[in-house]
Amino acid sequence: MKRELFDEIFDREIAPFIEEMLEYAPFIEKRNLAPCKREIFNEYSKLRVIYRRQVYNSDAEILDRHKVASCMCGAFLTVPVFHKGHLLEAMKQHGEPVESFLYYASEFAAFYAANKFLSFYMLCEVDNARGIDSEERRLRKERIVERFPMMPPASKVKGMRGTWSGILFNLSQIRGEERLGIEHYDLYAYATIFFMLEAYFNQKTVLMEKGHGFK
Amino acid sequence: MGKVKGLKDYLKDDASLCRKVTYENFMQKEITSNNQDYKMEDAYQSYRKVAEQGYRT
Repeated sequence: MKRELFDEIFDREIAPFIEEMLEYAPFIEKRNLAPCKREIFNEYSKLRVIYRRQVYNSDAEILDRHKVASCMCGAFLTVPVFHKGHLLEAMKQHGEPVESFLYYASEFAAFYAANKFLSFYMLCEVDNARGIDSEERRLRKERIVERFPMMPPASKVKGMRGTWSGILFNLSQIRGEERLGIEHYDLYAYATIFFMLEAYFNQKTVLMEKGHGFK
Repeated sequence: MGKVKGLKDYLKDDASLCRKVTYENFMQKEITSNNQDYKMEDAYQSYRKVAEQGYRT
């Protein structure tokens, strides 16, 4: 992926998500996104090389989309769009309770970005799929854009906590304040998580197509 | 093409993300989250209690 393309995706798809989060808590400040964006891309490029060498012992192989998503997630974690210390200080100064996802704002952006990039590949696959008519193709693409990823059922207490909050919490534990770095982020494990999310989405959408009562 | 899945959709998926949390409660969770595992002795005792009563799954 060229730098220009990453910049465009960041500006058009990721930055609006970050701005939308800030609507919930205007008192917190994001980092300057221009250098942030550059650093994230550099980090992503670095992780891709590391991953390729570790998995394939080569610089030539193309990574599959789940590994790309994992590298993207890792890059956003390593270069957070909010300083966690600043974020927590703002929460402390604010004094009032705020939506829990705001405490994981950077992790949320990382997870969102990874899923977004993964969805591009999924759409591309639909574009290149054979044996489906144009209406089916349109429908599949629409589902990916509107609904991917779907949240798998996972909750310690039924109805209380979902997969997203669990993932964000785990990501936040990886990237503690003042010990930034990818040494605790497992590229393989998160690639598997993204694989599972896509598999779950595909399974559910097949059920939808067969008329099972899925939302 | 319809609406793109965004922040509000994620929040709708998992309502716990919108639960209002104070800074103090958040920090409490952060600090204690790694200490919530039970001791193996206690865990094994829990198992023994059930096993000795003859429960089988």
